[in-house]
Amino acid sequence: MNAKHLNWDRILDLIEQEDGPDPAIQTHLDNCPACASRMAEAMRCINSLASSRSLSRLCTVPDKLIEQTLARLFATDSSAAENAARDLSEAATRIVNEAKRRLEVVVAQLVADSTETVLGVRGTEVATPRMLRYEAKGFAITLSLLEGAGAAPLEIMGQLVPTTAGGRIPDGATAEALVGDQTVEARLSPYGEFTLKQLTTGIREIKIAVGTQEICLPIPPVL
Amino acid sequence: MKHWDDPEEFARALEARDEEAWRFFLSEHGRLIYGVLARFDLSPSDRDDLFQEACMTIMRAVGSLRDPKSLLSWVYSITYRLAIDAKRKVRPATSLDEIGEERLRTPDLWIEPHFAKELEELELAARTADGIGQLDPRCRKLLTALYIEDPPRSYQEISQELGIPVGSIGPSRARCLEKLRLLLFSLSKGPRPSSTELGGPSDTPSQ
Repeated sequence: MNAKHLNWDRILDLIEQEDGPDPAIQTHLDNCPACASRMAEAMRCINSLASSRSLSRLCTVPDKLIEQTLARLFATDSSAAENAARDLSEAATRIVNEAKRRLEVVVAQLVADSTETVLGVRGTEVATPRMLRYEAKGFAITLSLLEGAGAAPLEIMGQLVPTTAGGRIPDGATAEALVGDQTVEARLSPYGEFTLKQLTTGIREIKIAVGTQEICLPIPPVL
Repeated sequence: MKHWDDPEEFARALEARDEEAWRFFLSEHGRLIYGVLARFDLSPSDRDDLFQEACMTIMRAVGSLRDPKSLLSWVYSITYRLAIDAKRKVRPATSLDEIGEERLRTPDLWIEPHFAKELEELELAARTADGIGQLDPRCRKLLTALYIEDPPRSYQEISQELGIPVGSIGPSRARCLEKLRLLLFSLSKGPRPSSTELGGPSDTPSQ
């Protein structure tokens, strides 16, 4: 089509012209897709403006609903803070209770170390695996320290056995090894067995949580 | 009541949970939420509950609104989605055996045709209002007087009110509409508008 398109002002005037465009312009619009498209865009724009009248025709929100909504919006805000404070307080209570529950700490007595000679002197040759045996209130504990070759990680297999008649391993008993400032934890089987894997050397102690007791098993260094 | 003309400042006040901003939001834009919900087949109590839920959703999410200038379009979308979800929840479960061919042809979430049309109009109105809000005050007043006020004002009245000569109203209107057209395009995902250079050397078509 030729370059003499209708400009934007002219298109807007044509839209507002009540008796429609004169025949020459109508013929141009019928044959010029660019001007027809531009005219359609102008119509869309004006119709969009007219459609925004529908917003002003919308019913106003009842005052009561506005007030209820505001109350809910801002009440939620403060109740969220109250809930957070309550959650924090409950968490603190749980921690304190847990601490109280764990207050009964028993240090187990080492009764046998496979690195000790029959004379009661620890030798420099470490038997593999190194076996340690402890006794604590109502329990005997055996540990096998399986040290891997080279840089392979250390693994500790242990078993907690009740020494009193009718004694049993409480549900949920766990063993925890302290290595530096890190811990490795394992759950005890119903027979009191546990394995602590992927340990590095330098373990200072193992703790076994059974019921309300926490049994500490100090690991003596090999001399 | 304080008015917020700057959309970004208003969005920040809403995000900061400014109670005055929220009161303004509810009285000015609550009508859009209420109007959208009124076009779904909801009981009055469900509609009021959803109104509050929509406002709570908006309060929680307004901080994530990428373009505060499109607040109304965003409010429309949130309300519409909540209403659709609510309708979906109340829709009775139907066993596959009960679904006949007729039912399969029926849309899952039936909205009365005239309400569907009104919803489309509201969506467009929300987008247009967002666009108008981004115009300079002079253009905003001019287009409102010419195309939104019902009945539209005469050029003479507009000339007196805005202090511009009658002869300048036509060209000003054209410039303002062109700005709005581009704004509406940027707010929508529609096809790219044709080039603005179409004016050409003359507005008289060749014979």
